[in-house]
Amino acid sequence: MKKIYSIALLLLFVLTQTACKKTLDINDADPNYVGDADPKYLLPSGITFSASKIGGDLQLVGSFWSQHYTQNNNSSQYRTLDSYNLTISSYNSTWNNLFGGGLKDLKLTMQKSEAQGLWNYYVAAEVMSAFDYHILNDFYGAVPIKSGLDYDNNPQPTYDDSKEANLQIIAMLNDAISKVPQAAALPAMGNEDFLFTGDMDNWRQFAKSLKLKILMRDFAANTAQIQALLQEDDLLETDAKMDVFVDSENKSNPLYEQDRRKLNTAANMRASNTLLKFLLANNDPRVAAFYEKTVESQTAGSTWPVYSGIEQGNYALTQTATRSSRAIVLPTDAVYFMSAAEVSFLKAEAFARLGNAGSAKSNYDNGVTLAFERWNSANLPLNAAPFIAPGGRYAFVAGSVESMVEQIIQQKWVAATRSQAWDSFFDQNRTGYPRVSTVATTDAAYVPGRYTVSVTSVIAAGQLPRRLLFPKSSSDYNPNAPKVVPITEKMYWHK
Amino acid sequence: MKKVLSSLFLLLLLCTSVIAQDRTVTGTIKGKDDGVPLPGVSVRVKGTSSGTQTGANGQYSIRVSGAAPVLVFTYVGYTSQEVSVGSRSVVNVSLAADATQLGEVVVTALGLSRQEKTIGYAASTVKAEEVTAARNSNVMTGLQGKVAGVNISNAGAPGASTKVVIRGVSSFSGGNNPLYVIDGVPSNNTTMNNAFTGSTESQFSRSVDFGNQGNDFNPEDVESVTVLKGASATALYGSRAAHGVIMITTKRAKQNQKLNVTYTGSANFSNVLRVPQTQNVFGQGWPFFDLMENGSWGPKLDGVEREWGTEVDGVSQKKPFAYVKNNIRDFYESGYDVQNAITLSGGGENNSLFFSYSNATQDGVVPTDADHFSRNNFSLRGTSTYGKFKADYSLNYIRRDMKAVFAGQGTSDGGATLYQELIQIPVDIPISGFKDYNAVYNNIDNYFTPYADNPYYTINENGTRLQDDRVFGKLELSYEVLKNTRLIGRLGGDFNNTKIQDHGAVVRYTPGSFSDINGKAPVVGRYGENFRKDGQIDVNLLMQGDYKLNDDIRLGGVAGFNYNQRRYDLLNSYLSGLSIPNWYSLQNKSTSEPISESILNLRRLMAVYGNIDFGFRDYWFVNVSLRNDWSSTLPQNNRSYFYWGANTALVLTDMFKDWQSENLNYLKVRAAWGQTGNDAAPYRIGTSFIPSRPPLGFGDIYAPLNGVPALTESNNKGNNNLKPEITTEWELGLDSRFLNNRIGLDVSYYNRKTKDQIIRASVAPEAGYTTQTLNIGNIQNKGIEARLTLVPVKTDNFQWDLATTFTKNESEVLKLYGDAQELLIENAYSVDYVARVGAPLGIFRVPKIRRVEEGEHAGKIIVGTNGYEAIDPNGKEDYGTSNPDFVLGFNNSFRYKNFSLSAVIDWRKGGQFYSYTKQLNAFVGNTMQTTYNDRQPFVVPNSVKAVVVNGVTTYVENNIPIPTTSMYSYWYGNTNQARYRDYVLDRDFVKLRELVFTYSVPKTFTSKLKLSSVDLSLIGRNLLMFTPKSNTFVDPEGTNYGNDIASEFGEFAAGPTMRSIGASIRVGF
Repeated sequence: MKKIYSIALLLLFVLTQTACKKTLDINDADPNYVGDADPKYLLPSGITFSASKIGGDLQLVGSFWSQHYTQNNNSSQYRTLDSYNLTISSYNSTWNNLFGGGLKDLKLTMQKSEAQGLWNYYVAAEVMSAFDYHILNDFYGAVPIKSGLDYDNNPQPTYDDSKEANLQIIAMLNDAISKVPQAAALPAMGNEDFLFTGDMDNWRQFAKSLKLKILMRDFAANTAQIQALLQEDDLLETDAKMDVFVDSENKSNPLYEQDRRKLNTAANMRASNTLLKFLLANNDPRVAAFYEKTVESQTAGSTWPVYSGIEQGNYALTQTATRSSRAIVLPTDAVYFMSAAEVSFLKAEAFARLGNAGSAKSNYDNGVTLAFERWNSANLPLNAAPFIAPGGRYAFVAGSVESMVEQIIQQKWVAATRSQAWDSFFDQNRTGYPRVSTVATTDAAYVPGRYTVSVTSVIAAGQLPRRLLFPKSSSDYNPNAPKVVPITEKMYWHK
Repeated sequence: MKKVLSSLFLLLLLCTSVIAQDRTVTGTIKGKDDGVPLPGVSVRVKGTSSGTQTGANGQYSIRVSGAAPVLVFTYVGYTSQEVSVGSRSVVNVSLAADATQLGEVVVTALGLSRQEKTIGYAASTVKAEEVTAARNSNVMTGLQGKVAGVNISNAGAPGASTKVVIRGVSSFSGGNNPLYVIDGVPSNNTTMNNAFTGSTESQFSRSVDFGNQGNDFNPEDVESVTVLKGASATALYGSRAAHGVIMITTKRAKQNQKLNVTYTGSANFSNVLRVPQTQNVFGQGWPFFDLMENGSWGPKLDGVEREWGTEVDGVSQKKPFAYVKNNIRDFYESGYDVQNAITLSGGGENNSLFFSYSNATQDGVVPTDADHFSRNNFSLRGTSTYGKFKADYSLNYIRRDMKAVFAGQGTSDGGATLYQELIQIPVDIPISGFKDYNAVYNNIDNYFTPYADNPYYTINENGTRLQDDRVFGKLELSYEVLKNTRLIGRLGGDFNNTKIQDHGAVVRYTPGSFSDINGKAPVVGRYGENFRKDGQIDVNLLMQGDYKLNDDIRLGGVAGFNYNQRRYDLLNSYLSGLSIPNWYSLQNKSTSEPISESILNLRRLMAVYGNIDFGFRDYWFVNVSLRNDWSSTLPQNNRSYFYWGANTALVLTDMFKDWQSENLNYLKVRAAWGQTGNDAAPYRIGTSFIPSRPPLGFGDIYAPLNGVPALTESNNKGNNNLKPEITTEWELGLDSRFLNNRIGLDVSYYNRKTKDQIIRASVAPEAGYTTQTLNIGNIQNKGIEARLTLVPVKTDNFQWDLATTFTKNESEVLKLYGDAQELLIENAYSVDYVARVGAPLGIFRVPKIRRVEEGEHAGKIIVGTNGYEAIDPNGKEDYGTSNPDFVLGFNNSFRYKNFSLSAVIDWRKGGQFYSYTKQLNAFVGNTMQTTYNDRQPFVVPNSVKAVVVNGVTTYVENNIPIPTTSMYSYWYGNTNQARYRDYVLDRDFVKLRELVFTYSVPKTFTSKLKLSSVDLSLIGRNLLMFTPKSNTFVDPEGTNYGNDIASEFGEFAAGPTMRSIGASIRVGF
């Protein structure tokens, strides 16, 4: 009896102490995935996350609030967006995935490439991070850069206000620019650099162009730095874009993927009268690059207009969907971060503000030309020349600073369609252009190209949205998140 | 007293020795119902201490003395009988099964039986007859309304999952279902839903419920089901028993039993229980009459015959512009379910064998066989006894085939889903007219609206099926190493292979057709395959002893070792975008490649445990159980954890014999305290790098792009400091019987705290992760559960039994983690279902309506410029909880001679749920609510509007009317967020779950047919359901969110539940 018990006890002891450990050491690492990753795999992830959110949800928000698109009256997907009826729960996934995905992968890329001396990955990741922070900062008005992305030491980061964040972003860009010579000496990154396939000169120019863009948020304070950048003229002449999308499930342009492929109705985004009337009034052929022909106009004998839009936010309209033009988004559309056209407009604006009308004009002309060329194809030949030629619809007229800036930003607004719509939203906030109309586009007194306030706006009369609300996903778990700021409240660089 | 004690002692020792007697009486004791000899029946001479027991063949022999000896026959689960011997020397007795004696013997942890009275915690046992009364196709549905403290609901469709929640939901993230244990062996209970079809879509897209494995068992195999509720009761099962244990004891053959054959068959017809009730005033339009609208926002119905639908070759169809009665109801057809079960059992001197086969086939109410379920069960069980050696073994094979209808929302690749399309038909258009979905006016090109699809198309062309092969069984060997001490080895295994396929048809519109012109989105088509292999091995080695130390003290104990391994392998692949229509294969590639993943999930657990049973005299009992687990899923330092439980029972009526009277037959008090520990899911310690798949507003982007692979660090931060989750519970209880057992009352009060649950808790994303695996929270569930049994009438021929179960559970989230006050459990649109500190687990949050804070208008609603209620962008407000106030179950049974009638009624009071069905009905203008004010302009009652003068906001009475043409926008949440609260409905219901009328053919007649028994029954299930006025839409128990906490949220265009009527026959040969 005693013997049996002692044998049993011994057996148990042996089992639990030795065999056990081995038997139980099976869940420490997940056999389905790897436990670490090289910069080579992290950088493309960081860029893809960035492109997915910036080219997806933010491009959508930008397109509506820049009045390129409006909600279809026969469906309802973006009604809350079009009526400025957002809450702290809206678009949280943008914040979550840029921080939890894009920015974190980029930060890991920087940490790992710094340790391995892979300065090319380091530079690319740092510039891309700076760009993401810039976008978030301009949408939210504060962003945690200094103490963010450091969960182990600081699970509840404090936010840097808009101004401070811009200083942080510029510091990152300066750091990246300083590392370019070391980076250029290394074997080039390959296709994992979705933007420039390893061309470090382009990364440097992207960094400097972004720097210029941010400095322009406070022209008076940064005039000297802006002048230096213009003088150096080492700015982007190519597009900083991710252009690898194909017409295939889960591999398309993010806005196309979410709006056209994955939603059960693909009819939500229609031509806004704000942009459409401007294009039509100027006989701008880019209308065919931005909007589909109305279905109704294509039926035999119909006299319905080829292009027809909806007043911004007028989704209560009763007419069949065949009567309005749907926005064109293709699965193969690139996601733009910065573009050569945008940089030209930026330069034009800077020169205009410096009183250099000549350089303002040449850069403006170049910007319009590039903006036309972007959509030029055999099917849709586009040539800006007659438009910018003297007497042309878009001919640059030298004049007061404000009048020149208005012309530049007006064109920049058109150029941002289907590519950088969030940027024209920022520009309108910053410069007040396009101007806001006091009458509807249907009114005889309406000047084509002026913003109208959404017909279904839920915010105070005459107001436009200026920002996204700090996300609930942050404020619920971070006591350091700022208090909610109303959607109409302007930021320090807003006009 | 001493005499009594010694007689008890003798009984306990199962003593066969007798004291000097005058003569010997012999006889055979059989069961009244089946005529099977009963071994182990206690036979006692009344008024003496002499007693014996029947042998294996049911025979006994006892010596009696005196002039009028009376024999008392008692047997667990049967009514005791007293028989005057008279001058007879042979006394044969048939004992009748006693339903009121529920729980005389309960099966406790590890499959050990104990007498009910020795147990210090609440354990409810339900016998086979009750489980199978209404011939439900699964065991747990047969328990509905019959056990206090347990909520059981079924999702509705054929074969759909059954949710069993014991003493309230207490886990944030799932795992609220109990552990199912079959004859002492834990069994798999995976729920197969659309998480398995490989869709990364959320639960509300193309959702499917293929049921949980706890539904697999053949009810006819069940001898009894015992529900162990508290932590003290379940401590021995360790980690997985934190939410209770369902112990299923199967039927076995007895030794020396002649061959016994039974057949049970049933056939039922079913129809749909509840369809949404629609308004009958306004017809098609949005907001003006329009032939292609999918809503009823149009003009008043006038009955005038007009053209409708699409024009084909210049010709339209005609119909009256009038309300179609029973429109949705008429879409559904009659379903059926048929079950057959046959059992064979018999035993020899050393061996006994039981074999059963059953099949269950069910076709639901959706037209076609798109919702279909069939199951075949084979079971073989046996025992062998050779002296001190015993073997007990079983082998079961289950084959399950299912087809299911997608619920929830459609997807762009898989096409539309049925229930959503059914709702989007104006109230004046007859749905059944679309049945021929290829007819020219009904086909994909010409269906009347471009905004929805023909519901008949979806059920005929899109679908999903499951095939599951499952084998489980056990081998238990035991040897009596010493007197009263057995060494037991038990090996259990449970293995299944599942294959799920799903397909969605390619839809391409003819150029120039109505659908094409109106920009209807084509469907690219989809095919998916999913293979899953589950395996569980469970080994127990235990030593069990039972000793009588002296006249007063009995001591029993168990010491054991447990090894458990669970593993699943998953291979999933789907192709979104098919090249060739109607060819469902992963090879049918167009521009897309199949997306595949394979997952291995393996975990192990080791444990040592001990259990001590102490009995003092026959009235005081103490049980202590201890267990230490080593789990592979926890970090090495916290891998080992110990927990224990103790309970005690005191039978007062045995302790103070003079308390016992005709008025008070039995009184027991009990108290228990216990803990159970729980481990994590596997692979939660580290943080992995996973393929990069940024989620979009809808859909995702998948790496690699342009051939470039990309890895991202998981958004979930692992945790190397995880510790086990611990549930601590205490309970007090009372079990009593009065007035000759005519009244019985069993009450428990419990208080349970679940601490340190391991979940992926949300953290601030700006720190780099959206979640971290954390030990969080402290949730309290306390409540009362009671069972009251009454026998209001009892005569020789007639008896009325009434049993009422009462369940009241109150939960409260005491703590989450860090500063977090709220944790999102589930949401749809702007309705959130959250856990919040200080509130019950699971409250609803809806967009907050702005109200005037102070001044003369304080409390009034503020409207926006459009006259709609303005929404506070900064947060949401509470709008109810999913928790019921209480649940009552009524079981009535009436017996008159050979007839019996039983009814089970369930009443759930209180609580809310989210209904997308209502939301969609509101969107299309079909709800009654949308006819408010006859759709004439109105001003939101009791509201004000803001006026800003010189930057100062004041409020004046609102005078902005909602125009008739905006009613559609006012009543829909997406355009008027204030209305989301309308879609949170009251969850209350009263259901007549079962109504069974049985006729037992008299033995005199059956014996002529050489049958031992024949029972004929008429069966009704879910015949009636009553819900509050707010819910005229769905059965509040129907859900497509599975069978865990998410299902408490509600439904998202879930399928309907069913009512059924049928008959059954049970024949014993």
